[in-house]
Order: sequence, then C-alpha cells, then structure tokens
Amino acid sequence: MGNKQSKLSQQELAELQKATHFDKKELQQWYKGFLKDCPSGMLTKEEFQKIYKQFFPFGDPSSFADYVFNVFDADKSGTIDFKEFICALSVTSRGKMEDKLDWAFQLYDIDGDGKISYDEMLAIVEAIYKMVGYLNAVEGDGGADSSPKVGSMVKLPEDEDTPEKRVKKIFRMMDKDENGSLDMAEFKEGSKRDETIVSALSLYDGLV
Amino acid sequence: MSWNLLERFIESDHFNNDPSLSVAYLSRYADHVGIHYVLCTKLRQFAYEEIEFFLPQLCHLLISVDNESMALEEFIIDLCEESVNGALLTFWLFQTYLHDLSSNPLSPAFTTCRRIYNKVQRIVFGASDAPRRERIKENVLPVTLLSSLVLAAVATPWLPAHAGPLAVAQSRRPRPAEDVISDAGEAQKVGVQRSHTTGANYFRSETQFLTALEDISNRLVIVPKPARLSALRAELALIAQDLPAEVDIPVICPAVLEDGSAARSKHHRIVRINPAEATSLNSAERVPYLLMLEVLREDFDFDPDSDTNQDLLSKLMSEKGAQKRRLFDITEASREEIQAQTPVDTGPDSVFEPANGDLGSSQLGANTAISSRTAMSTPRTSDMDNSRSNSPSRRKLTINSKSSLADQSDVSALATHMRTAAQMLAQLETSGAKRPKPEVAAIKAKIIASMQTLEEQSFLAGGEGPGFDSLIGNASALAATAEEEEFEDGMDGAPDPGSSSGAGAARMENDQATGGVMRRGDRDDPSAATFGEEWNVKKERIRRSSPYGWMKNWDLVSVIVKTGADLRQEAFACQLIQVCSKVWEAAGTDVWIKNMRILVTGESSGLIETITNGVSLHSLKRSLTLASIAAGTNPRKRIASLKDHFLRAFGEEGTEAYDRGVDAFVRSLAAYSMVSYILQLKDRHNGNILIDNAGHVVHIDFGFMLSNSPGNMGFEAAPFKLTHEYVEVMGGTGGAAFDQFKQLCKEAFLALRKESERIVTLVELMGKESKMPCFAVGVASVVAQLRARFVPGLSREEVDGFVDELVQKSVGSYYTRLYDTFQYRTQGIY
Repeated sequence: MGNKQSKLSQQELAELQKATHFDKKELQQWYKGFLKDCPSGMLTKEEFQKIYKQFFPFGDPSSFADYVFNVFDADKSGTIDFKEFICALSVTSRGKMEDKLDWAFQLYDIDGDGKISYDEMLAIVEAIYKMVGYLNAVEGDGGADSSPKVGSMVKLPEDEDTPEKRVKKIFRMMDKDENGSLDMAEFKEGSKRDETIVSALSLYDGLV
Repeated sequence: MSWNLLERFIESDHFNNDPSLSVAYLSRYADHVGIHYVLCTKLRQFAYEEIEFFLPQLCHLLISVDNESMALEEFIIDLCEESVNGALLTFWLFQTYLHDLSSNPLSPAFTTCRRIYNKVQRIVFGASDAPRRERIKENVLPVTLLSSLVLAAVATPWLPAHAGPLAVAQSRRPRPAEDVISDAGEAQKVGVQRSHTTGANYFRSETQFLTALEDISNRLVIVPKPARLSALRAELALIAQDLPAEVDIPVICPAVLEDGSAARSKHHRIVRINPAEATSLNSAERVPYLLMLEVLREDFDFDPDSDTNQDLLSKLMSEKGAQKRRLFDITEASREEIQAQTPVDTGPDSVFEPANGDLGSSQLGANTAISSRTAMSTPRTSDMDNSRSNSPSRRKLTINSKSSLADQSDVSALATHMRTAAQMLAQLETSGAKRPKPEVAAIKAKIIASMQTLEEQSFLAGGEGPGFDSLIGNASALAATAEEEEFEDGMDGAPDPGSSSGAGAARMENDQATGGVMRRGDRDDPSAATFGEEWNVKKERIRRSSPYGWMKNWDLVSVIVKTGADLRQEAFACQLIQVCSKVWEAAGTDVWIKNMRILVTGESSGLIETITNGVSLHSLKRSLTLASIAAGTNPRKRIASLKDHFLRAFGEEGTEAYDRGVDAFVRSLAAYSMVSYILQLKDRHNGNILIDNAGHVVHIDFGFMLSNSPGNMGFEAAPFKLTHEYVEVMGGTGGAAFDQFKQLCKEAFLALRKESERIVTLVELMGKESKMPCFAVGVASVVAQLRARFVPGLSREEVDGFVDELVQKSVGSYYTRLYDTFQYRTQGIY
C-alpha cells in the first residue's frame, strides 16, 4: 500500500474494515490525513525520530523511538505504511484491553522469543527514562551535581527513580513463577491487576 | 541556548517565580511544540491574577504566531473554563482581533481567532466539558506518538499522563479545510442542553450591560451638545431599571478571588446607577461619559450550592423558552430579534452571530423588525457603524413607537421622547442647509429646551435624587456659557477649552469627570474649584441618597465609558507602567506611580478608571488664575503656578503638610519622569498631567508613546517634562527636594535598567503584527530604540552621570516650553 493513490480502493477498504475498528468514511479520512502528513505514502524512521525529538526536547528519545518503530513496522520493511499505521491506531484507541496488551507485548519482547527477559524490560524502561530527560543529569553532567535528578521535568517516587528499581518492581509484581522472565499470561495478568497501568492504557479511548 | 541549559533555566526558581519569563519564552520558542508545552505547563502554576495580567500578551501570541503548537490554545481555553472572568476578558480581546483581521478572513490568524472566539462562547453557554471531549483529528505524527505512549503504559504508567496531554492537544489540531471530507461526524454534537449556569448568566448579563452602556455613547454622537446630558440621563434611566443584576466592572473593580481560586471569584454587584450623577464629556466627535456606579462588594459568586444562586437558577430556568426580554435592552428592535432559545451544538460558527443571538446580534434579516419610519429617518453616521466588530450594522438607532412594557412605561416613554427629539435634531442638521439659518437655530433651541425640561421634570418628579441643576456634574454642560476673561500675560486670545472641540478639550475627560474644569464655582468659592467636588464628599452624598447606602459593603465606583477610540494602546501603556511599578516595589525604590486600569471591550470601546482625587494641572492653574483675578489679588493677571496651588492646598512652606505634599510630588515626579523617558510618553501637555489631593503627579492619556508623537513633529524633544514650575515646587535646582528628586530618578532608572528585558520583551511581543499606532514605524526599530534608552553600554557609575544629564536636558527645556505655549495658544491649555 505504498503507492500514492489519493483514495483507498473498495478492496483495500473492505480489507481494512475487517482488520480495524474503523468504518469506511473514517478510513478514507485518515488515509487522506496520512498522505497529507506523509506525502510519500510512507512514514520513515527519520520522520518518526523527528516527532519524538520535538515532543521531548530535554531528553534523548532516539532508542525508544527505534523500539516503537519496530513494533509499528509489522512487515519489517523499514517504513510504516498506512495499513500498519491504522492498525496500530485502531488497537491503541479502540481496541479491547486484551488486544492492547497483546500489541504492547511486542514492544518489550525485543527479540521476539515470546518472553520478556529482565534485560529486555530494562532496555525499554531505560529508553523511556532517557526520553523524558530523567537520565540526562546522571549521564551528561560530569558530576557537577550531587543529586542525579536535578533538572528533570518528571518527579518519580523513590522506589522507581532508577530504571533498575522500576524493572525490579515490575518483576516483583508480575513474575509469578519467579523465573526471571515474563510470558504473555504473566504480562497481561500483572498489567490488569495494576490500576495505574489500566488507566494509562486507556489514555485516549473515545478520543479517536 | 542548548537544550540542557534551557531546561535548567526553565526549572530554576528565577523562572518559576516570574510568569513574564514563561510568556517571553513562548514567543522565543514559538516553533518548538515540546517547549511550548513545557512553558504552558509552567504558566499553570501561577495564580489567576498573574495570568490575567498577561492575558493581552497570551492572546496576542495566539494570533500573531503561526505555529503548530496547540498548548497555548489549550491553556487559554482551560483558563476560560475555570474562570468566567477570564472567559469574558478573552472574549473581548478576541472581539478586537476579529475586527482587525476581518478584512482577511482566509488568513490563519483569522481562522485561529474565530475558532477560539467560538470555543469561549461554547464554554460559557454550552455543556461545560464540551471542549474536553473534542475529538482527535487526522494528525498522523502526534497520533503515532500517542499510540506509542499506550505501548509504554506497562513499563511506566506515568508516561501517558506526562506526555499524553501534549500529544492529545497536538492531535486535535484542526486540519486545513480541504482535508475534511464531509461535515457530518467532523463536528461532534455535544452539549445539547443549553446550560443555565450562574456563570453563563453573568457572562450574558455583563456583555449585554456593557454593550448597552457603549451604545448610549454611540447614540449620543448625533445629539447636539446642549442636549446630550439630558439624552444621556434618559437612556441611563432605562438601563438602571434592570439593576441590581449579576453585573460588575471587571479589571477596574475586579472580583475577589477566594484562596486565589479563579473559579471561586466573589464579584462586586452593581446595584444602582443614578442617572442624575452621570455627565457627558463633550469631546470632539465622540461622546464619552462619566458614570457613578453603586456596587455592593463581594455580593455574588458562582457557587451552585448557595441559596441565592439556587434561587437565581430556578428563576432562570422558569424564564427559559419564554420570550425573555434582554437585560439592559434599550432598543425595541433588538428585543424583537431574540429567538426562542435553541439548543447549542458545537457545529455552527457563531462569529457573526455571537452566542447564537444571545449576545445581542441582529440576524441579517432582522432589519425588518425596525419600523419603516425609523429606517427612513435614521441617519447613518460612521460612528454608529463601528460599535462592535462582529456585526457592524447590528444596533441601529430606532424610534420606538410601539407600546412598552407596563412596568417601565414612564422611563421608557421618556427615553422615547428623547430619542425622537434627537432624531429630529439630527435631521435638522442634515437637511438644515436648505432652510434659513435663524429658523434652524430657533427650532433647534426649542427642541433642546424641551429635552432639558423633560429631563428635569422627570428626575425631580421621580424623586431620583437631587435636581440636576444643583449638581456639580452639570457644570460642564453649562461650561459653554461661562464667560471668558482676557488677561495680559502676552498669551491672550486662547480659546475656551471647555467649549472648544479641539484636541486639548478632548483629552480632559478626567477633569470633567472630577469637576476639574468646573467654572461656575470659580468666583463664588475659589477653594471648592481646586478639586471640584471632593470624592469622599461626593461619595457620602450619593450614599445618603441611595437605598443601598446603609449596607456595609456599599461602595461607589466612577468610570468613563468610551467608544469610538481604540483603547488597546492605552491599556498596554498602563500595563507597562504597572511592570515598572512592580520592579520598583520589588527593588524597594521609594517612588510613587499610579496604576491606572482600563477595560478593553472591543476595538473601539471600553471603560477607563477615573482618578477620583486628581485634577489636571491645566484646570488647577486656570481656576486659580481666574479666582485670584476675581478676588482682586492679581491685578496683573499673572498665570498661577503649581507652587501657588501647593501653598493653597497644603499651607505655608515649612509646615508638615506642605512638606508632605512636596515629598509626594517629588516621589511621583521621579517615577513619571523615568517612565516618560523610557516609554517616550508624548503629548505631555498640562491637560494630561493631573495632581491628586496628596500632591502626587498622575499622567493620563497614552495615545503617543515609544515612537509616535502628535503630528510626529518631535516637538517634545526633552527626555521628559521638567518645567520651571516643577523645579520651583522642589525649592529650585539647589534645594534639598531637587536633590532628592535626582537621587530617586537614579534609583528608579537603575532598577528599571536591571529588569529592562521585562519591558523590552513585552514591547517586542506586542509589537509583532500590531495595529497599535506606537508600532507604526516597525517593531524592530521601536525595540532597538527602547533598548538603547536603557544605555546598556554604560557602567553602573556612568549611569548616575547619564541620569544627571537627562535631568539637566529636561530642566526648563526650550522644547517643553514651546509645547506648552503651543498648547496654550492653540487649545487653551494652561
């Protein structure tokens, strides 16, 4: 679907209607918007990086953007086409909790082996902390400040103020068999038990 | 600045204690969505009052900066949701922009302006959560980011709350019109039920009240001067019938915020207008007028649970659907235009019909409601047509020949008579050329006399306070008949300022307001003429005559209602002066300056606070001169000096009272001198400089500053106005008071210089895409010159010498004298 036709064909429409929670008109509308914002019909990694940089001016969002890009890029073609975009949007905005967690699992399961290892989870959490600028001071400051959190826009509770602490907390909460990795069931069960996660997953329900 | 440094600065205490920095950075980093968002988050930490102060800047940023960020728009909308007061002020500001931009309706600025204008109305009149449920539009990039936040929810549940609002705001960004496939589904229908909240009621009442006040001023333009006062009072009597109501005077008599919460504002209710206390200020072509408003302090709020508001709500609900009369409606025609209240949805664009008819717009077809007779006889003057931005032809002068509601028959009939008479006069004016002059004059005199008699009878019979002939305020209307004396000082032949229509007279509204140019008392009681009627005396008199006067929270507020002039530059000048005042306060500089308040309600309308205890230097000198001549103590007819006034007002030199007066004078003169220099306040003739009853100088009228001057002549070339008579009051250039003056000038200048960027950024920000005359030469040069006046290149020690020089250049400047002479000769300003 990388071609630059101005409208979706009936066949494409029917296909997408099945795959998403959108109706024909909505799909056409989004397609039009997609072409306007990505005239090539593709969303490239560079554009992806750029938008993150804009939204997180005080941090380094590059690794998180990379991880996310790989989840969106379902066919691993190196670009995101309209179908990949609209499917992601459909799940995150209109999908059931179950579907959202299914999809989110892919972000954390970096090597795609069906399990989230401690290191994988740590990589993602580190990427996020870096993105919001939480690790700036630690890494870039040269030790001028005694406190590593100086200058951060985010305030975190003491038991989550480093990526390691946060990951340990996640595993304490979710790794029921204590084998050091989370399978899909543990991931889903654990997430659903945590109200803050549940409400964060519903961030823009009803807005699209 | 590197991002890291910027982040540190934004997180510093310095930044977090000063909202002006956030405002300035919003302009500087306009192209960066993320930073814009961070800055708007900062703004949310400040108290409502601090944000309200910068509201003109924030709104100007929204209009003048075309960027992708939605953060500021969200911020303003949230503010309007929290505070009806904020919504009102925003509404009025955007009304002015709509007017400015209407010639280019396809521009992004106009689109933004219209969108926000509509949103504000929807907030006030629609369901309260309407904008929050606004849907996301097809903005692929921010939506992608939003999706990824959902992915991250498991690892860091706080992330969506942290970055989500920004992503949602950006995702809501309106798409260009051609992107929208069809209408349905685009505009989500919300808020079907028109909300009858107390907030909405206040918004509606307030806008109607001010529109009614301004319409009077517009309507008086066609009335000949001698009849204006009578017509004004008749019109006001009509408005006064709807009081008390849920109305106040924002900005000038601002609501009290309980615990600083904008949502819990307590408003000072206007309970009464005594028409007999109102005075029309005859100036040039416009007819501003002075109004005394009786208020009860902290008398209404929007707490939905209070008994008063419950009663109000049920009353409003019971009126719902009925053909409700508009409050303060003084035209019959617009009354008929009210539509049955229809449900609001977010779809329709109400720019040209504010609040779907609620705010008193006439629909285009509504002209049919105006009787054919009126349509024929109504003179269309240009003044009538610019009353409000959105619908130029909205309010028409109408003659009401239809039966009135029973309860208002008397006043209504009076107003009708007045209007009919005014119509006849106007017609006479336009068709008069065909008739012999004496005949026209005779008819005119007759009509005017009948108007005056009518008014007199009405207010006397109605027991509406003292007969107006006995009122001080009336003096200005009679001023035209006052005699003028010649005296020999080489400057004779000056025209009479009270009756002339010259620019000088136009600028002495505050005097007329405070009785400063009152002439009749000059001979009988010269001391009374010094300050007109003392404010406290006037207040007591009105309190005694008021049925509300016994109440503890009763108060009197005096404002000037002005139309036909753009008050935005004046308001901006007052804001800059207030910034200076804040700087001095923080630095502990012992100077005094008046923070004047102006409420802008449209591009050519607004309310101005009056300096209740001040009289212009012109009037002081004039009445003192005339009085001394009359008393026979001034055989050579010398013009009285400022020192004469000080001696008369405060007693002999060397007394404690006199020294106090001089001290007040010195401290205020230092402040105004530095402000005049920095802001290049021009047109500083003695009609624009007041002296209050403590001895302070107060400057008014800021039509010329920064770069423009009257006629752009460069007449007033001195750094600031420092005349010989000012110096005389300070005991000469060798006196201790003069030394104190110089010292205070230095301290005041140094304090401002240290914080100069505050002033510069405000000017820079407002100068962008500005329509204000003070930016006519271009914002870049205005800003460069402003910066240069702070002499950034000089050392701390050199600055002292620089200020000394400024003072020296100003003392008895040839140019200052020339300007005063010019003003005296051409305008009769002493």
